[in-house]
Amino acid sequence: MLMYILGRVCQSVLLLLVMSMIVFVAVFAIGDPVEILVSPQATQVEIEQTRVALGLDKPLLNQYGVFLANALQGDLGRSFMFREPALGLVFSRLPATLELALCALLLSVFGGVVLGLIAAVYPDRLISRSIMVGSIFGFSLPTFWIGTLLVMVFGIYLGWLPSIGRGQVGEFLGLHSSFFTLDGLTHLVLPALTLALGNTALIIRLTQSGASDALSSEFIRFARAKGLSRKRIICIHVLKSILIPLVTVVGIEFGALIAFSVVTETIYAWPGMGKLIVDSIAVLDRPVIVAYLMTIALIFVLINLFADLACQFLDPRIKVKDNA
Amino acid sequence: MSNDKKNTATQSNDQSPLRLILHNFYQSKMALIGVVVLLIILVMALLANVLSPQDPYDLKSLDIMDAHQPPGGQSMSGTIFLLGTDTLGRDLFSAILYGLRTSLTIGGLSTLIAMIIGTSLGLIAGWNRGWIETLIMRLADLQLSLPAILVALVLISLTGPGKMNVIIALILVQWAVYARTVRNVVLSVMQKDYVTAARGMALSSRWILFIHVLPNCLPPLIVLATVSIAGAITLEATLSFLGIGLPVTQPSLGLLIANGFAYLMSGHYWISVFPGIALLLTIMSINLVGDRLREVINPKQIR
Repeated sequence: MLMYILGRVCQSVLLLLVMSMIVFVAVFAIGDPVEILVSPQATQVEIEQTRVALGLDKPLLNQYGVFLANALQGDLGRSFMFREPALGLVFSRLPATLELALCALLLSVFGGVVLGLIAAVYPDRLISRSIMVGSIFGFSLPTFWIGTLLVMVFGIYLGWLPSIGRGQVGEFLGLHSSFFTLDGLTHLVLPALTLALGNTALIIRLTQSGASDALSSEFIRFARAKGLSRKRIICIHVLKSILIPLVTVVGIEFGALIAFSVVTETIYAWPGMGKLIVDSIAVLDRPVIVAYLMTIALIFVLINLFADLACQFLDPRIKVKDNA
Repeated sequence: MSNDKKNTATQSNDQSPLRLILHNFYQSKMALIGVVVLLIILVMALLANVLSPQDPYDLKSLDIMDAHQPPGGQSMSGTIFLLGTDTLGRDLFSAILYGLRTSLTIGGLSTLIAMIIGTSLGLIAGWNRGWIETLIMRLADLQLSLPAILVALVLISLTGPGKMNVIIALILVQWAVYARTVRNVVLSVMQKDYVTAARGMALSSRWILFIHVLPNCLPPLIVLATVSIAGAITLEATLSFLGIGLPVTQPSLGLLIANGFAYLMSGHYWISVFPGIALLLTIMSINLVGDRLREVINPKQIR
């Protein structure tokens, strides 16, 4: 087991290294790196000085080494727009995005599992049919269109919920989050809902098909014959059987949520890193783009690592090859 | 081929397979609605320059005095704006028709190219086992494990916005599905007796691939293509909505929605809502047709 974990960690590090190479080649080798690193107003002399100072007259491999060494120390250059270290800037926006994605994840897992179970347990009722039809809509509608609609209905015509910004951020045990103030929570509702909808549809489908398979299987019939209550059968035995595919999907989907938060954050002017990257692409703020890409790569690698490890613990059927 | 196809073949002694598929297709009312709506949208997009009362790309024909007219409002010169106007005084009905044309062209074009690239790579991977196959399939796995929007975002952030870059991003997002599907079909077909026979007859590998293997890939490819056109249109609209997609001069539906979004607060709902409905109808109708196609055309082969 330990060997497996070690192997997976090594794999992850390797993947990050490859990712850094791709980003390095794409950004630093194709465009003129000096243009990327100094401000556009710099004079010719200044440009030459930076070129030498940064070691850009050296071969590409040496340059990559320097880039990597700097990156490991958390230095990915300074943002043109904000005149701050790019990585710090991305990291300062990270909590807002993680908070949004986490909230959406919780909403979609809870909502998706409950609705999916209802659809599986009462397949012939009207509510189940509408859940399944609704999930098709949730799949095919673009996130930004759902968001626009929600803003229009709840933010403007009904005026029930705020639809701009993050609201007040509370502090609890040293953590800053919108979870801890009422104002923050109300600001969180619409963005989280928008982000969660597509994912909820997916989890509904997954739960419904998994649960209806489980309901017609031998071990559920045996549990019924044993006289277990319906509630216990559904909440423990059926739910357990859909847990493993769910964990895998949740792992993948958390990454997707972070990626899709780009759209949600733009709609709701949420000050996360998705909004930052869209603004940075618009003004070609390359250090920030590099920092964002590396951060996203890191997050994806970590999520995949944890999802794989979680599956190992949950599912004893997955045999670990010790020297893999 | 799997059993399904054999059944179809026995049922259709007097009918061609294509007619049988069409016959089955129209059994579903929803699919029929989807086809009709899709046809209307296609005709409207094709005839955009005939149907629209105004050329939305010609800034000279716009009058800023006509800005923010509600649906049915009248212009200074007396023409009626069926769906209202936007900030520039642009007739929204015309803008939507032209936007539909842009969205459909980009979606269709990128899907077609992605399908050609993906199919070729799938054939290559299925035919030449070994390191080529491993390389192509690992790349496909990598692409499929990342969310489409992220891949597009990474590419656009490296190359910058623009029509060409959006198309490249859409191709990059789509090719892997085709490659994987085609390769799976190739692997299953290669074990059939008729391919062994063809090899025994010393037919060239190109002949076997194109005459015996490729036709087997068509049914799943058709289904995949309809679904992924809808995805491509959605992704393009999303990128344009974010302002990192198509240029402002030739607005697609996503950009029109984004333009209107700023005016939602002031109650000018139509600027955003009508392009949104157009996008919605397009995506839903394509999906309806795609879903039905999946049911009708041998469903076992997909995945």
